[in-house]
Amino acid sequence: MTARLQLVKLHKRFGGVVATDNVSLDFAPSTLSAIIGPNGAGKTTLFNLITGRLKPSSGQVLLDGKDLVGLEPGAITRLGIGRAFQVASLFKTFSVRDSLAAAVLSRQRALGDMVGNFPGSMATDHVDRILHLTGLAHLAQRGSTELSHGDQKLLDIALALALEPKVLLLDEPTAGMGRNEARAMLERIHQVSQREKLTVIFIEHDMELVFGLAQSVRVLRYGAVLAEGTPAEIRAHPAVIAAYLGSEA
Amino acid sequence: MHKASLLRDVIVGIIVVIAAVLLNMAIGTPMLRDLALRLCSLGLFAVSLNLLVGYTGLLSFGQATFYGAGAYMFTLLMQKSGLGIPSAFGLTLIGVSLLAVVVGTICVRLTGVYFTFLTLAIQMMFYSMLIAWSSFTGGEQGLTGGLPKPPFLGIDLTNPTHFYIFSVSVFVVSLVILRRIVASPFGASLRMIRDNADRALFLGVPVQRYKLFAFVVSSLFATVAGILTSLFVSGAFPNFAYWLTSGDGLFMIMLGGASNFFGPVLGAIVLIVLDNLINVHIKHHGLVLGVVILFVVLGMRKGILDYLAEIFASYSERSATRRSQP
Repeated sequence: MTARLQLVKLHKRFGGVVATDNVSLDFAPSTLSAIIGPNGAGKTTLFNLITGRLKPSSGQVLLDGKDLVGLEPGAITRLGIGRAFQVASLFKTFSVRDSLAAAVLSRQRALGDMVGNFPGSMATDHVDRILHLTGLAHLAQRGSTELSHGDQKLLDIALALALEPKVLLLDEPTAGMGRNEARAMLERIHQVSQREKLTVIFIEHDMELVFGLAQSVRVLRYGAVLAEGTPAEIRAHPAVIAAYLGSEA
Repeated sequence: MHKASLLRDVIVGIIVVIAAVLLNMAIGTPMLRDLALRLCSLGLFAVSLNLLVGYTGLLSFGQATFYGAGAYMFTLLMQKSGLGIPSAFGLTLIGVSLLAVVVGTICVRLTGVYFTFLTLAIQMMFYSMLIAWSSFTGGEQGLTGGLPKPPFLGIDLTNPTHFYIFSVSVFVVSLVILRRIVASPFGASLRMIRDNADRALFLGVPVQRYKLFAFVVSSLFATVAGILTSLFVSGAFPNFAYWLTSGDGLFMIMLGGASNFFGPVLGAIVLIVLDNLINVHIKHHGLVLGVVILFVVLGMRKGILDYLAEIFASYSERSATRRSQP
């Protein structure tokens, strides 16, 4: 199977610190992968390298075989890598519906239009579909910042979905949530990824949640890949048990 | 946020122009026309600046660069080239927008206070150039000696009534265009940049390019305001491009309110009225303006129109809940 997203010998150093150490990973189309690892393992750095926020010191990031290294974040977004943030990153004066409409118009490259009306009617169908998909429809008219913590995270993901990405990167989608809320969030993400045939990569701390849903798990430590495999393989992996699961217990 | 339609804006604009004409017929004193003309140029200047400050979140302290450049270029063209008013007007817009592209390209790379100070620094350079290059700009005297106003299309700007209607029309047309821009998808992308530039970038918004567009459009309308002023005073003077002029622009925005399209216009009205009341009676007009700003900033914590809009919103919300719970 050819990979949708491929990281080839990715390397990033900040001065003397190696944040990403020779990381090579493949992510198959339409899969849900988890990235786990202790704090400071370089998980968010990896996302920053993929999305163009940071430039790798060496190595390649291939989306369907095309190298993304050196492109601007906006260009990488347009090529099909969407991203949601650890702390929900929203537009505080926009309603839920208007935020999504803006994202859809951005996708359609219609945001430069100085004559038409915003939000207008062009994006309505698309916005309705995403509202339905993410379960935010009943909150459409609310202001972004009036939402609960969980719904703000969901809106953040919805914004990324509005771009119709091929790959969706979710940085701790369940951060700050209780166990049940987190489970519901991950199930929602699982559902969306299945329905949209998305390649989803998410960072997660809660092992139990990861093992329940992800098809593959990658473990990072000190910026390097410690192990990868199915949840069952990872659970039984001696190095992982020693380095991570062991220390959790 | 903005449910404006172009048709409605155009109709309202036409009504305003007609009302201005009727007002002039009813009480056409030179005093009234003077106030209206100052409102047209100052109000447009403030609204143009608010496209950056209020809508894009770029606190520019250099808007007077383009106001001054517009006035100087237009006056020079009229004095030296023998062109008609429409072509000089058009050439000035083109010339100053080129300047705005250069200045904007340098400035929008920076954010926050660095952006603000860079715009201020470039403005001071421009001001110094106006003072120093006296063979061309008239130095500290400015461009005196009058501004020829040949009639065009049956409009004679030496006729006070013609000039009054011309200014009001230019003002209204500019506001209709700016309002359209603010209500458009482009306007929405500017508000996205203001709210969260980082997120906008990851949604594929070309943040730097759109900031530059906003900068140039804003400068263009500051240029129009500068041209109106130079026609009004028949010349161009260095204080047009001085930092105090930019300060006045920010003052009007703060006073009237940055989140309402017409806030800066209200700010301009208040500034002009205060100026007129105070300059007649008191020498220390800075003292009074300072007190007013203190009152607005500490008392209302937002501009007058924003304050009123908030009161109105909470009132209608309360009466809506009352109706739903009889």
